[in-house]
Amino acid sequence: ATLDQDTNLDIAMQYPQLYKSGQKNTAFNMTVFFGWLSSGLWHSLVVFYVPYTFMEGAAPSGQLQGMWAMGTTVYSALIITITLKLALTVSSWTWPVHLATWGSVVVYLVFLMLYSSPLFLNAAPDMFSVPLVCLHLPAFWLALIITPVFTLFPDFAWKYIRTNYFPSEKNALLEELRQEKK
Amino acid sequence: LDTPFRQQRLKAWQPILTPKWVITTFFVGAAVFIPIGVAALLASRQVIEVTQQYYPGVCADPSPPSTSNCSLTITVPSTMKAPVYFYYQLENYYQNHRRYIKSRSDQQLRGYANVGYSSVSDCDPILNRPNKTCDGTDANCINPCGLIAWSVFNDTFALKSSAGSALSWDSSGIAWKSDVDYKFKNRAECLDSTGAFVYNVTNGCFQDVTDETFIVWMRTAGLPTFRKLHKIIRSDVAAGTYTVDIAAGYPVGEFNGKKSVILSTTTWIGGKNDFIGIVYLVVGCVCFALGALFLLKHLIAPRKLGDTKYMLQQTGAEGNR
Repeated sequence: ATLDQDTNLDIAMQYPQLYKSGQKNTAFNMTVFFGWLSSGLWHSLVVFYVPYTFMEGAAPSGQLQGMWAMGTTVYSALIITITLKLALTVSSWTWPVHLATWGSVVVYLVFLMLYSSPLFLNAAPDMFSVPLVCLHLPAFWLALIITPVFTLFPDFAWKYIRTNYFPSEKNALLEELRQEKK
Repeated sequence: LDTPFRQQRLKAWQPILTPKWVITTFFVGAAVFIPIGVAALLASRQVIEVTQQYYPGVCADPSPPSTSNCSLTITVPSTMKAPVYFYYQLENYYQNHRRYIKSRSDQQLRGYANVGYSSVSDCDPILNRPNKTCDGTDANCINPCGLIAWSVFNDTFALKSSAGSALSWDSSGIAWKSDVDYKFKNRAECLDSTGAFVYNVTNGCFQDVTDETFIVWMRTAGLPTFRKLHKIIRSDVAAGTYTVDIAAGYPVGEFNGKKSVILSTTTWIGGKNDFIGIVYLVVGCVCFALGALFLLKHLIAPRKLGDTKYMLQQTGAEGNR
């Protein structure tokens, strides 16, 4: 986020009217704030309830998953969802951004597998083998796939509507410049 | 000091959501999620599940140490193909309560003797052997200690056909293999020369922790209504009436708990869970609706990429290009 730029240096210098959005508080006001708040509410409801109910039933083996597997599914769905939400929000994809975004998901997965391996059997017996069991369950994968989609489709649709039909100056300008380049 | 990184002049990709990409994404989503939803729902519908509550019901709430004996009639609507899974279900039972979950000693459960006080301190209040104060040794501490082990479910069941013949079933494979292989072993003093568990009150050997029924109980459930796999029937269960003879030693009336038995088959998706199919269908349909909506808007009143109309409206001027 530190490295994110909505427009690069040259464009910012050339089009000072872009700074009007700062003066007018268009990017951070009560409406925007409550927008994010309600978005967060929806996100948290879906990220919790969908994985939880998907993992409630028995596995194909007849066995039940228990609390730790449910929690692992919720948490994994959460990590993926917030990463994708971030991806929707980022303006400029530089290599550090790619690294931090996808890298953090990879780090999470690596940590999860290590933490639940025999290495940590003494320190963290409750998590032992839980992710491995999850990986073998269709319900787990189905939860991981649908939760980000179900959570973020309003964000995605809204971003599309906003940038295409109610664009900010910055959006319109960027689009125009892109067209000229072609 | 003048590197692209330091001057924040890194090459950046700045994506723009064009109608083409967004509409396609939504339709692809619909094309993927709707079939999955249908398949998941069909699989869930294929599961045959028979549930029958026995408390409150035909069984009285037992007052330990006496058990309450009762017989339950269940009807299987159509032939259930092997393997058929037999569960008991408890309601209003919070195995997910934080203090309950903590109340166990994994070191003891793995078969270590005299594990030391720090490994059993979470077991409080199920910790001290009668008239003793626990100090980590098995002479003074309950092994396995803790609320979870102490509250193990102990109703027993027998399944009989209408003709009176007992159905054979076993508990092999009801617990997680990783639990059976790594996390549950009896301590040496509770074993005989062949390695089998020996019940011995003097030594405090009262629970065979390798018993899969016990291991299943120790894997705490996440919700207050939960079922636990108890037995597996390896042959088909034909349609008809069956009797479940229950020797109930587990009182739940005090906290308005309920007890039931369940017979169920599974499919590729597991046991009965319509929710999975429904969620996929809902998301798939929403994707389709949004895709269609945006497509319609785009066909009826399209906006050319780079349309400066919006830009001019906002600046009220021609910019300075």
